[in-house]
Amino acid sequence: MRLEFTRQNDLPEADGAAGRGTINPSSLVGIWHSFDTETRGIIKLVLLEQRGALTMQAFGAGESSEIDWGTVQGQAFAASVDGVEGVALRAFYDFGFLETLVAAYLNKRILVVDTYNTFKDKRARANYFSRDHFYQ
Amino acid sequence: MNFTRTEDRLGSEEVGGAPVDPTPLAGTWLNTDKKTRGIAKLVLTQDNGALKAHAFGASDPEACDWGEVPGFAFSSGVSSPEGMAFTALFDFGFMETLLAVYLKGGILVLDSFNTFRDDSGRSNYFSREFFHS
Repeated sequence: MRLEFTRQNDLPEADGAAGRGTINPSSLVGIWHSFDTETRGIIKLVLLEQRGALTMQAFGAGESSEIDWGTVQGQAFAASVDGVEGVALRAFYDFGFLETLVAAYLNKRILVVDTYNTFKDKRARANYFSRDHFYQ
Repeated sequence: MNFTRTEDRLGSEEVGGAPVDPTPLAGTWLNTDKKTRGIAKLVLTQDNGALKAHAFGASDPEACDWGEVPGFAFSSGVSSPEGMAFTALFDFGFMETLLAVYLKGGILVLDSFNTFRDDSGRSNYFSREFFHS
């Protein structure tokens, strides 16, 4: 079978060596806390594996308590087309007035979490990027 | 004002930064790894405030032209209009590549989230690359 590709990284290292498409998200699973105890962003992430699928529950920093964003589906990614271990994830929150793309990866045992935030309420706030670091 | 975390909010003295100006992102960006197997070059243009991303994948003997797609610019906070990050989605049919990118100290840091749809058995994969202008 001739594989389509967009760059060399899309191709397996050897014939038949592809990762069989199933990624084990267990390295990502757990309760992750922001290193910044005074963060104005995400305080905590709860990543769970349920029947092979990854879920994310995020908690934002509120004025006096954390804000539960609810649980959404996450998608795990390996380090290569041959990989089976999850090293990154993405998830998407739609809050109605705001959409947040969560794009995260593991750097050793640190979860580096970027958010791309798009406002839909036309209240003059700029769409913004933020980055936080989390530990278990 | 609705918010999901404190950083969504404008301070009492702050003015909203919308719309975000993508100009700081515009240019031709080359991978710092000349032997990359990932993305070799990224051309970012802006037209009347709209960002466009044109990517080229590493391939032999010549790069794969991915074509041009809309980009969506982001600033560093709700009160800042200066673009310093963007996302773009390339849909190739057999796979989809989401680019999530930010500027840091003159270097463009690019994360790609790659999802296969072709039942080839390849794992969805993540990559991180660095670009200079």
